Amino acid sequence: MKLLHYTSLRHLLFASLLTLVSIPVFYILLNNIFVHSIDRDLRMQASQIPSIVSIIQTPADFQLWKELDNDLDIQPIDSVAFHDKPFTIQRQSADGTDPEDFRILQKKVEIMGKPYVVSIESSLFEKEDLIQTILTIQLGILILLLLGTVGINYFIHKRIWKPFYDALAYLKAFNIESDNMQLPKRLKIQEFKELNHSVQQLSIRVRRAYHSQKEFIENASHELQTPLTVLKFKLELLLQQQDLTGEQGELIGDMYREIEQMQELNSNLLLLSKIENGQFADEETVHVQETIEEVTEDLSLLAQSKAQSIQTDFATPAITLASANKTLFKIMVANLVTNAIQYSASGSTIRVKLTATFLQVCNPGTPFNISSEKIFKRFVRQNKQKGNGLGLSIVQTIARYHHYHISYDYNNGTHQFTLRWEPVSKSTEKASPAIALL
Amino acid sequence: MKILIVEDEIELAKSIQQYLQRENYLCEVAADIAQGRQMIEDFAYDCILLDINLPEGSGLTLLKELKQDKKTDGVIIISARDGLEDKVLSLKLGADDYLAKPFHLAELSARIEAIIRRRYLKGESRLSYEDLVIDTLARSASVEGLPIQLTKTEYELLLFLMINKGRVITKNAIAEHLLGRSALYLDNYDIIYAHVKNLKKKLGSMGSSIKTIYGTGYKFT
Repeated sequence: MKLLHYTSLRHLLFASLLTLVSIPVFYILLNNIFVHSIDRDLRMQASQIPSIVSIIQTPADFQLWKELDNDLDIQPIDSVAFHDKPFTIQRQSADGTDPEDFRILQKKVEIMGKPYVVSIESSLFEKEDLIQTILTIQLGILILLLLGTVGINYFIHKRIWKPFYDALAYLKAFNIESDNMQLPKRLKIQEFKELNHSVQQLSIRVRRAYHSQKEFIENASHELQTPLTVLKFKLELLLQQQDLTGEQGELIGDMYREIEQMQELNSNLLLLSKIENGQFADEETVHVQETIEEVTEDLSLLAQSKAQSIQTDFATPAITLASANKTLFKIMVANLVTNAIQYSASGSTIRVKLTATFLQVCNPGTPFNISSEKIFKRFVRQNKQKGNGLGLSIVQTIARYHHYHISYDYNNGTHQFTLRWEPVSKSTEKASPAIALL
Repeated sequence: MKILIVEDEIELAKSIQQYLQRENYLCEVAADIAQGRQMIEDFAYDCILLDINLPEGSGLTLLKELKQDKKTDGVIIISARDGLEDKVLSLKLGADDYLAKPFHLAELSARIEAIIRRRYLKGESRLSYEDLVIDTLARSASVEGLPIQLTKTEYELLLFLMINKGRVITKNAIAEHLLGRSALYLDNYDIIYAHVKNLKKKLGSMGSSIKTIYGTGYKFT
């Protein structure tokens, strides 16, 4: 739900509730006030009765009074029920159509020595009319008020939240590599000024941290490579000594290998961090078939060392992928094939299949005892195999970088790695990469 | 043949110097850009080994100056950075080769040899030792004038050993030279043994020049 809709809905809800509650409350209140004022009138009239009664001396006077005053009804005390307080009754109106409400106040009087009840009545007909008019006007005002507040709220908020959405768009488009984006300046509101300032400060700090981290990685790598190189050179010079025994030579060879492993680990970690930082351009066109051929050529000796053969199956016409990075793509394919060579027995055949939508590398082998989700994790290795456990992690990182999808399957004794460049389902795989990767 | 090493790590420079001096190379060391610039101005070198990360700046500035002055010295960049952009940039600026540290000295030696050959020997691109002759242009070998059929791998192996003549070359260095990075995934060196064995057989009488150094590697003498 959008922020704007959220507040608008709440405003609307509140205004409607207020209207609904206020109408009956207002009606009851108004009714009470009205009845109260009529009752006061009735009491005032009643208070004049004793002075009239005192004038009445004869039955003729009494009869005249009865006839003259229409609002009075005089009955002997035993023929009607007596009420202490004013009350309302409903009675047919004069023309006999609608029933009409009347307010009646009863008073006991003594006329010519006999007790009577005098009922003073007043029609409530006008009151009904008045309340109805007042309520109509009130309802009209309330509805106008409701529409007004909701409308004004909607349009004002739309304008007020604009800087917020600007900031949101800024954050969405934030790219750690390029820092040429500016937040638009359209702010008069203190809070948003502060928000934008903070966002901008944050992006500056993040960039600074990112750059110093990058610098650190490069420096660390450099600092590590030099002593490794010196070590290697010293060993190589040591090897040239004439009086070296075979055993010593072997030891030197072992040390050599360890140094190489360290170098490989170092450069692989550097590669991973560089891909994840998006430090590679991806505007090249990759000829997939050519790349696979180069890779199989490069790895032919490794395959040969295990008497394995690499069988390729290419679709026609040749497949090209736009906006990719050649070098990274080659590393990815090389890692997949190297992995296949490593995890299959001597003499087996590795199959590389290329179609318009995917590249598949298959090799026979025993199943991994690692789950297929974990296979792309860093430093996950099977049976202490050679390598540093970064190969498949690099494959996944490169695939993700290109928005490709890499998956692993094990079928009929065959490991299958499938790289798809056509997204399987369009919604899931094509997430925005720059931020997700960070 | 004169070689200049521009490298601020003295230990490293000394090791290279020590290794290369066993060839007929005359090696000089410059520890910083200023010294390197001075030496390049004063002398001509067949090959310059240039480090990128130097205390007062990038070795690439020196490379730029060199190319501006139209000097023909061959240049091999040696750097701890193995980033692609560094490689591409260096080669664009006119470097002849790029080696990322840590490399094998035998590999460095082979690259220097290749550059010097490319620059000076041009048509005459033969390497010979006694009766064995390698034609690097035709990528062929012959013993006593009789051509030998070598596979690509065997040819590379022989060339590598010959260039590092008189030195012990480890199995690692050979594997890395032939397989590149994938050498790390070798389970054993059987493939190297097999290729050396085949090469020795094909070389016939000259095969004995390749000596096996027990536990370490090979030596061409």
